Amino acid sequence: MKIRTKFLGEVEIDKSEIINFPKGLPGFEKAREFIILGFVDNDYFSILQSIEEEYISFIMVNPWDFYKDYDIEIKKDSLKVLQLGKEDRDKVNVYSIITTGKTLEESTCNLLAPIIVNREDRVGRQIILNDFPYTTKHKLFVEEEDLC
Amino acid sequence: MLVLNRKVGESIIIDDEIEVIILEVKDGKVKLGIEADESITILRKEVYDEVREENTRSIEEDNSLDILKMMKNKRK
Repeated sequence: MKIRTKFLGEVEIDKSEIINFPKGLPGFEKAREFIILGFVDNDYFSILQSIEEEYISFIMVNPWDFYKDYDIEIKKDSLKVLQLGKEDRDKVNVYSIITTGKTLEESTCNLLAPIIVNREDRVGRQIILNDFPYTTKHKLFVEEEDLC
Repeated sequence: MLVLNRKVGESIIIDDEIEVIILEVKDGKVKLGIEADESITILRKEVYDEVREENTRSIEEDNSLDILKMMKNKRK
């Protein structure tokens, strides 16, 4: 099937790739079906694109690419929604939504509320890490950083 | 909205299985105890609101693709 996407125009997808978010996402509770798309020339980012609404499209990173010590816990309420058992670690992908600012240095990553996807059963949920010291706005880069 | 008066030590039952107990009322603060199955998600509303606002902000940025290009160059 063909869908319209915010960043990649019209994209042909396979229905079997659709991920169901039974609770939607906070702020977008009615958006239940998403697909994860990659950028051809950029490995660091993926897109969480709503099937129904073109404008609902999040840019995500693998949090461990930016924060090596990032730690999460998926509690029972979310395990149930995600159809996961305690030993199902291998089925899980974890993403963090980024909010781009006017510059790279103003861009932030939401470590408080990661997107958890059960790859095998195609179900996802944005969980909120209550007991962790994370916020919705961690800088992706520090300004004085020099990577040359 | 349903409004109920409760004293310290009293509680309410929601849907036969979630119990909310008033533990303490002091200096304008109410301490609640919540007995519910672990499959129930319980959050402070301001935390949920914060995530909702950040989600909304994150899809409103129009220059995302430019920023991604810059990031790609930087990570080389």
